[in-house]
Amino acid sequence: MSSVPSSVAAVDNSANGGSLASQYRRFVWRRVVCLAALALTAVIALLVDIASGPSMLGLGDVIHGLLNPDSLDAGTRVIIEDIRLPYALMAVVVGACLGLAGAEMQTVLNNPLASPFTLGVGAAATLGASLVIAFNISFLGLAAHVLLPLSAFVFAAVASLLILLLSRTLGASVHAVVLFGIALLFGINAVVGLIQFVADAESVQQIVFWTMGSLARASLDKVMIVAAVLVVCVPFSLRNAWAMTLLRSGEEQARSLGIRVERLRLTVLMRVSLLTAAAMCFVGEIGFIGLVAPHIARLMLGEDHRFLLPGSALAGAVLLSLSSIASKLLVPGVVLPVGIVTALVGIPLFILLIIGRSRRVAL
Amino acid sequence: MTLKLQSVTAGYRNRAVFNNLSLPEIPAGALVAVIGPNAVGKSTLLKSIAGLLPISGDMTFAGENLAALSSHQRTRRIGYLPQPLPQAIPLVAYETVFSACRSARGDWTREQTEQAIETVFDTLGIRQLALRRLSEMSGGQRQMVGLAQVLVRQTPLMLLDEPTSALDLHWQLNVLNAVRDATTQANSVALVACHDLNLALRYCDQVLVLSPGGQAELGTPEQVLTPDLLARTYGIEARIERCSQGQPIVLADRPLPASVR
Repeated sequence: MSSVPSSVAAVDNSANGGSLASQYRRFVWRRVVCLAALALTAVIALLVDIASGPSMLGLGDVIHGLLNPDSLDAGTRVIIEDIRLPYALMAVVVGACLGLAGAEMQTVLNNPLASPFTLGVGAAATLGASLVIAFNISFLGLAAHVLLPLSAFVFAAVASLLILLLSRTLGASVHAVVLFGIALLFGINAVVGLIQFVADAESVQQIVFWTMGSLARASLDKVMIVAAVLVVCVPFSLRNAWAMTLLRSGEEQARSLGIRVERLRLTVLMRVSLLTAAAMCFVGEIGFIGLVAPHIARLMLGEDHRFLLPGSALAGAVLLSLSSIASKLLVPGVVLPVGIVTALVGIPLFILLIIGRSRRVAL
Repeated sequence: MTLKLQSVTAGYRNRAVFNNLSLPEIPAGALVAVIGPNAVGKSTLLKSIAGLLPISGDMTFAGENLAALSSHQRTRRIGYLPQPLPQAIPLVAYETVFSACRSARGDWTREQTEQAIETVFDTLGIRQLALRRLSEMSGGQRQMVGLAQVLVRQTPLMLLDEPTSALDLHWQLNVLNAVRDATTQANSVALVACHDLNLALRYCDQVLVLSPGGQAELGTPEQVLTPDLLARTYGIEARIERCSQGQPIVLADRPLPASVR
C-alpha cells in the first residue's frame, strides 16, 4: 500500500494533515458558512424586493419600517405592509417550496432533468385549477378558493403517481421517465388548451393568469398557508436526508443498507405534489425554479442532502426574489408576471455558475 | 458463523435463475470466490443472500434464518457491494462512507464511527480521496469508495460483486488482501464474485463454481478448478500449471467448439 498508482489515488494536497474526521469537520463548516451566505442573500433579496417598485424606498427605511412600523407615515406603511411585504414574502416561500420540491424529485428519480414542471406535475396542477376555474365545479360544499388549491394538489399527486408507476412497473430508465414526463406535460397542456377553448372569456383570462405566474394577488394570509406547508414539509425532508444521500450514491447499495426505496419514492413524490400545489395555488405556474435551484445548490454545497435540501430551498427563494425584483424594474412603471421573468433572470445566473464551476474543475 | 444454503430458488419476476441450489456449509473465516460464466447467476446469488431478491428455501448464517431478519438486523450482519459503481455525483468520499456507516451502525458512537472510517480509508490506501467528490474520481476510485462503504461496517458476512472490475493490478491485489485480512481477523465469511480465476486461486480458501445447467460445486480452488470443469463451465480448453513459486495458475488456451462442450 506504500505506492499509489495514478489511476486510483492521485494525491490531493487538500486532504493532508490531521485526522480525516477533523478534516471533514472543517469541510462541513465551510458548507455551513456557504448555507449561511445563501440565507443572508435571501434576506437581502427580500429587503430589496420590498424596497423596489414604482416608488422606490431606501433599504434603511425598509429595515427601520419593518422593525418600527409606527414610525412610518401612513402611505409608506400601506405600501410596505399591505403590498410589498406579502408580495416579497410570497416570492421567498414559493421559491423555497419549488426549490425543495425540485431537489427531492431529482434525487428520488435519479434524474437531474426532473422537476415538478419538466415532468408535468406543475401542468397537472394547472389542469386541476383550470377545471375548477372553467367549470365552476363545487365539491362537498367547498368554496372555490379552497377547492382550487385542493384540485391542483390532487392532480399534481396523480401525475407524480403516474411517473412513479412507470418507473416501477416498466423498470423505466432515466431517459424513459423523462420522456414519459414530457409526454404527460404535452398531453396535459393539450387538455388545458381544450378547456380554454370551451371556457368563457373570464375563465380563460383566469387560466392564462395562472399559467403566467404572478405574485400580484399575494396576501399575508396566503403567504401563511404556503409557509405552513413548507414548515410542515421541511422536517420530513430533512428526516429523509441521509436516505436520499445514500439513494443518490447508488440504489442497490441503498437497498442493502435498509433503505426502503419504494416507500421513500412514494412519500417524497407526495411531498413534491404538496409543495408544488402549495407553491402554485396562489401564484400560478412558475417554472424553472424547481429545475435550476437544486443545481445551483448542488454546485455550491454538493450532494449531502443535509445541506442540499435547505440549500435548494434557499436558492429557490433567492431566485424568485431576484425575479420579483427584476419583474418590477425591467419595464419602468409595469410589474411583469414573475413567471415570465424567472427564466430571464435565472438562466444567466445558472450559466455563470456552470462556467465558474467548469473553470474551477479545469484548473 | 457458518453460511448454509439449502434448496434455494431465486430469480426475477417469473424467471428463476437457479433452482433448488444447495451448498455444503461455508465455515467461518472463509473467503469464497463465486465464479462462472456470464449470466449464470453469480450476482443473483449474492443479491438473494443480501435480501434484495425474494427466495424460497433455507438460508442460514450463524444459525439465523436470513429471510426472517428485519432490514435493521440484516444491515448489521451483511455487507453487500453491488456490481454498479457508486454514481459520479458531487458527494465526497468521506460522507459517502459516513452515510453508509450511519445508516447501518446506529449503535456506534461518533468516535467509533470516525475511527472505523479512518481505519478503512487507511486499510484501502485511499486516504487521499477522502474529501474528493465522486464526480471527480475515476471508475476505479469510485469502486474503492464503494468497497469502503462495505468494509467500514465490519459485518460478519460480506458479499462483494466483482469488487475489482474497475481496478488496475496493484489495486486488485490491494483489495483482495484487505478483504482476506478482514475475513481472517473477524472470523467472518466473504463471498466474492469474480471472473479472474487466478485471483481466486491466489486469495480464496474456497471456490464456488456456478455452471449454466444450474449445478454448483464448492471446494478448495485446487479441488474444483480442473481442466474438465473449465471445459464444462466456460467452454474452454485450459491447463492448471504451477509457477516458479509453486502457485497454481490457470492458463486458458482456446475456446472449445460448441459440439465438444
